[in-house]
Formats: sequence, structure tokens, C-alpha cells
Amino acid sequence: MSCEEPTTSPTPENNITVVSSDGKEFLLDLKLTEQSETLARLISNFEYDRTDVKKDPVPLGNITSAQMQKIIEWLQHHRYYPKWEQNDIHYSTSFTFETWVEEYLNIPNNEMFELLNAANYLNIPRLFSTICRIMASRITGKSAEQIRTVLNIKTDVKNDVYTGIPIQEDSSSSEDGMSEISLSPSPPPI
Amino acid sequence: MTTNHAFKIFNLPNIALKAVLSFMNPVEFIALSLCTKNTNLICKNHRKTKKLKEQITNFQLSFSCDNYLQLQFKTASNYFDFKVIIQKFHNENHQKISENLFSLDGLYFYNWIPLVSNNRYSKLWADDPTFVREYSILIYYAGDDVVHSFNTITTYLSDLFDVQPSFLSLNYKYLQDDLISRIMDNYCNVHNFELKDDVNKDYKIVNYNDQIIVSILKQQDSTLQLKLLFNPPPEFTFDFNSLRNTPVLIEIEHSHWITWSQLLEIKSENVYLCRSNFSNLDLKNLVQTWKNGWTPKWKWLMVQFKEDLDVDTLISERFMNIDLKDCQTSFILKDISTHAYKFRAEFHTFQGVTTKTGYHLTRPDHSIATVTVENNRIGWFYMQSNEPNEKLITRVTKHAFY
Repeated sequence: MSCEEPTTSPTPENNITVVSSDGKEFLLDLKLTEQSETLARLISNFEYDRTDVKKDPVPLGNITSAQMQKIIEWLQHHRYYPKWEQNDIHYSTSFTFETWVEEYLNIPNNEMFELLNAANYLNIPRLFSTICRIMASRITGKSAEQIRTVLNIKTDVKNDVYTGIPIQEDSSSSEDGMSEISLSPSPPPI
Repeated sequence: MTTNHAFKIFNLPNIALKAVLSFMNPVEFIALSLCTKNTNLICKNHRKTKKLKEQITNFQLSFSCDNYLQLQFKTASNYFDFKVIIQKFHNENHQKISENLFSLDGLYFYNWIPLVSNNRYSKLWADDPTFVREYSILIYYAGDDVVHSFNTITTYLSDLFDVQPSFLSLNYKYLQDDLISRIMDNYCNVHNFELKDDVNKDYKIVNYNDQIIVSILKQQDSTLQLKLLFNPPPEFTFDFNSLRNTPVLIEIEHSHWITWSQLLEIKSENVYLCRSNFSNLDLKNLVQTWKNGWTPKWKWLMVQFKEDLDVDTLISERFMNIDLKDCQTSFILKDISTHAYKFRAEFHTFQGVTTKTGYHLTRPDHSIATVTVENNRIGWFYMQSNEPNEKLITRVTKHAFY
């Protein structure tokens, strides 16, 4: 197993070891773990913040080493940021992202998807909210066809994604109010 | 972009999916809802929570020289509006439309990138927003039926956001009688109604029939707010008893036609009259009438008088000076020999300092009324609760600064 160190070179007293799903170990400064509610709670429960407590490696079975590396980069950058205060998840007109964040998240959509899942698993609110808003904004100005491509939405989905119940593809517009929606625009005759 | 590089939004855990949907602005959210039947269902389900429904504070339909509908959002951190401007389809729009994105039962979206503007908010208090961001999109309708187009988009948005239209605004100067009739047939039951006649020099007036005002007012069904913003000729009259409902608030922007006897009979809980023909003597008579035992049906009356008011001419009896902040009903009711308590207070608003001077008045039946003058021209008269230990309350208005 290899062991990768964040740039601040944590000492044994102030770090824990996490193990990614592919078996790679990462030393994490306890200060960094404060940004992850999952890790912070775990450290608190096992009293890993005490120097006299033996710290076992923490397996993170849902997170690959590549994702963990990316997440540590995020945690390092936001090490001295104030605690993320947005308790309520909703759209805000004041969303702006610094250049570093835009560059950090300039990654393919499938990697973004995995990173969002990792942020959700580790409960890193700032990263989670940032990815959600950036993903939401990626459909701005796009046509239905482009949105379907970006979000991998199939046309005429047969089953509801939540319930698995088949959705009727009939013309009963009174039931779902959607049958009049044309997905390929056809302007009125001139 | 290949499918492999798609962001598989519906494969996300439920909590993450809901977060992505919550972080969409209304334009993004509507675009997603228009993609497929399934996205539409997911979007509708997402908006069904009480918390999200309460984010929408107003759903306004506006018919005038420009027709639009507007959803106003208030979240924990800010305010923003979503506006759909509805215009008639003309041949010259064809090229732009034909390249475009979505269509909805005869409505054609010109551009799915919203026009974003920051509109100045008429703020009174420091924590009110200074600007409200507005996202507007333009859609076209074919044919001549603007009401049908409104119905289509209104029904779609109502269904998607699970809210009903709450505010109807009409400018009768730009609407033919038959169109007004159709609008009223479709939307007269909206709880807040506004009738106006302001003129935009860029548009041609199509209706000079001032008599239509009366029939509109009789037909509208508002139960919450009735705002009369038109400026009728001096001879205009309207009997408020002919309203179908008694709205909680009546606001009349040009109230020069309201008579004193009419004012005394209005049944709404809140009555705001601007540009009235009433004088200081009328306010003095109102105070005296109340002291003689008359009680109005309204609770809060605000009047912009035609002349400067002198609050000290309103009361001739002995009074006690008090501090407005500490005043409770029990305090002013306990001294049976004093029936007038004078106060003066300054309110520091965003528009400036407003000075309120007035009297709390008591009657032998333990009723309490307050008469105040705000920045010399605004007179208030309102009924206070006489429950023990209730705080005596007061209001200020933006009209003091106009």
C-alpha cells in the first residue's frame, strides 16, 4: 500500500488514515476532516482527536483513490475558509464561484457525477452544494435535446425512475398535461 | 459530448437529485420539466413540498400594453422573479423561432437563455432587498387568442410549481372591451386584483371607455387585496356595496372621488387612500365621531390628505405624554380620568426618517383608537386591541416619502 501525504505533512498526533475502495491509504490532517461531517462525526465518536487513542485506518468503501485525491485537494484549498453556513438547499442569485473552483470542477460530467456522490457520502456541504449548483447551471440555454444529452435522459422513458411504474405514452393529455409538448419545434405556418 | 460523459442525474441518490433540482433557477427547472414526461413528473413531485410551495409569494397575471405572467420567489437568502412575456407571433419572428427549442400547445419560445436584470426594490426597511433579480423569457403565441395562451402557460406553471395564480393586474386602456370580458371570465376569481390606467407612450391606447371600470370592479372577486390605481374623472362614482366580496385591503391610488360618507362605510379591514380630497377638519371630525361612540368597520385607515395636518388640533382634551415603545393597553386603560395619550416617535427607514406624532385615545367602553400624523401629510386612524397587556401597535408607510 502506498501512503500519500497532503502538503501540510500531518504528524501522527493530528491526523487519521483513510483507506479508499482500491486500498490506497491517505493521511488526513484532522483540521481538514472538519469539513466532512461524516469524518468529523466518526472522529468524535471514536475520540480520534485524543493523542492517547490508537487510530485505526478508516475504510471509505465508496470512494476510489482518484476521488479521494480530488477531495483532499478541495479540503486543502478550503482549509481556512469559514464554516459553510447554508443550512437550506435552494437556488440563490448570489451564486458565484472563484476561478479556482471553476478550474477544479472543469472535469467531465461522469467524473463530476462521481465526485458529487463522494461529497454526498462524506457530507462535505460546500463541495456538495457547489457541484449541485454547477450541474444545475449546465442546462441553462440548452434545447430539450441538448439537456437530454447532458443529463443522459432518455426520450419516452417507459418507467418512472422513482417508482418503476410504467408511464403511459398515450394521448391522455388531461391526465398529465404533457401530450401537447412538442420536442421538435415546429413554428406555425406563415 | 458522448453518452458516456453524461451526468446521469437520475442515477443520483435521492438527496443529491433533490439538491440539484433545488439549485436550479426557475428557467432551468422549467427547461428540464419540458424534456420528457418523466422529467416533468419528477419536477412536479419535487415542488410538492410545503417549503418549496411557500417560496412562491406571488403568481401574477398582467394584461396591459405588454402581457406577462410573473412568479415571485422568496427564499431564505434572497428574492427573485421569473417573468414570462407573451407576445403575438409575427412573420418576422419566424427565422428566430424556427431555430428554437421547445414548444407548448401553440406557444413558441424564442430563446431559452433568460434576460437577467436587477430591478430596484422599493425598500422601506434596512433588511429589505435593494434589488430583485428578474429572469425573463419571451414566448410567442400564434393566432389572436392571448387569453388562451395565458391559460396554457398558466396551467403549465400552476401544475409544475403547484401554485395557483394569486394576482390579476389589468390596464383597461390597452384592452378592448371583449378582451376584458374574456379575461374576467377566466380569472375574476383570483384573490388579489389591480386595475390601472397608466399610459405608455410607446403603445397606442385602445380603450377610452371609463365606464368599463365599474363593470370590471363589479365582476372581480378579490378577497385579499383590491388595488385601484386608475385616475378617474372627478365625476366618477362607485358603490363599494356592489363588490362581490369584501377584500381585506382596499388601496386607492387616486382617491379624490371618494366621499367622506363612503369612507365611513367601507368594510375592508385595511383602507389606504392616496391623493384624497380630505382635510385636517375631516380627520378632526373622524376623531370626534369615534369619541361619540361610532366604530368603523375597518381597523386601519391611512389617508394622504390634501393639506398639511396639525395633530394638535385634533384633540382638545387633557392628555398625558407617553413613550410609544413602552405602551400597553393596560397602561392607558387604567387611568379612567385620562382619555388621550400623546406620543412622538421617529422611525429610521431606508427611505429616511419618518416622524409619527399622535394620540392613543380611549373611550368609556374601553375601546382604543390611535390617530397619528406621519410626515405632516399622512393621517392614520386605527383601532387597537383592548385585550390586557397587548402592545399598542403602529404602522408606517412608504407614501410618507412620495
